[in-house]
Amino acid sequence: MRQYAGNRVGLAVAGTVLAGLGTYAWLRGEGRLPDLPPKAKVLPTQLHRTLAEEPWSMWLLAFALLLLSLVSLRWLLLCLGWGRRGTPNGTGTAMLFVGLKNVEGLGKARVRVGDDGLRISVTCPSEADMGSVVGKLDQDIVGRIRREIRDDEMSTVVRLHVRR
Amino acid sequence: MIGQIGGEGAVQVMRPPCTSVLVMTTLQQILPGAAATPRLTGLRRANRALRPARTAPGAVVAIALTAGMGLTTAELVSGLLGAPLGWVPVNEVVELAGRTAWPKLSTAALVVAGAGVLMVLLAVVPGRSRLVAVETSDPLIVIGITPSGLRRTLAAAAQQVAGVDKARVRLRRRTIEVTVVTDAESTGAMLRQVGTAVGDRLAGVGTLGTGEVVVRLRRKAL
Repeated sequence: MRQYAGNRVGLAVAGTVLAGLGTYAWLRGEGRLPDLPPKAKVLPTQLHRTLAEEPWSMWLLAFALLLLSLVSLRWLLLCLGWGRRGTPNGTGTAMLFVGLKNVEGLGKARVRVGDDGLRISVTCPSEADMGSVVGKLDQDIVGRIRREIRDDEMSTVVRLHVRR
Repeated sequence: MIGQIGGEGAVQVMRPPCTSVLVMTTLQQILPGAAATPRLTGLRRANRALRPARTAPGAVVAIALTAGMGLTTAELVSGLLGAPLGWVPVNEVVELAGRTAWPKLSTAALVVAGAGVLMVLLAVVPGRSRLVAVETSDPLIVIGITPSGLRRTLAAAAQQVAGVDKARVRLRRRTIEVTVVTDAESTGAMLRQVGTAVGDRLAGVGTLGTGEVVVRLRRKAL
């Protein structure tokens, strides 16, 4: 199982665009780009006039911005976990509690099923024998839950926490 | 499960006036090559699954882009339809760009380029995992324990040793530092007992890539 890479892709694309624009503007300002006058205005008068006289170009720009804002909205929703974190699974959670019934004071235990696999979260008290909890999860409980929910080839990430 | 502590590699150092240090070397460090490859593969696999997803910077950039481009789109369309909303000063920005020459933008351009490079670095650098990876027998199972959870379970193991009043655990990059506070009559044997208890708990959990256990003993002042 791999970690969700969407944020890294988004950051890389946005960062590359920003770095490229910044570098271009700096090189222009320093006069290091041949054939381009360094003292020119950022928005040339001719382009300004064209934008004012040709409204379709502004509609085109608005459409492009709309598409880009929808893409970034999708990124935001995915980043916040929409459709990515999976759904809680009652059967799996019940099996988890049954499998860990010997652990006294077991706190939160949750099983979520997503497209990328199974996510299990367990919170134990500090007196619990974590070695035994890990052993049971690795060799018995996770396998049972996977077989019950889908199949044995399902990748699983387990998050263990110990509370005070 | 391979033991995480070994008597052969234990080094005890006494520091005046009343602090003792015990370094417990892992068996893997004593016997290079012994079961190292599967553990390394497991660690790599776990790190791939547990490495930070960059949610916070991703959310900040995504919010900024969505809000900025969405509001600009609304402003442009409303302006083209003859009823500007006034949310984004598009006309003022266009007029400013028409008045400003490129050299005036040098500082701002460097700031923008720096922010871009920072974002690219955030995307490229793998980053430290937020969970401590645990050894598993199934390659499809990745188990991670939270650092605070590992600290608590190791501190609980140290406190089970008779005579230990208080235990504090620090997870460093390559070592686990356990500091125990005992009464004035404590001996060096207790140091070993604490090291063994913590090492046994660590071996039981089967953490990967946690390195040496350093036990420090502090006696209460009389």
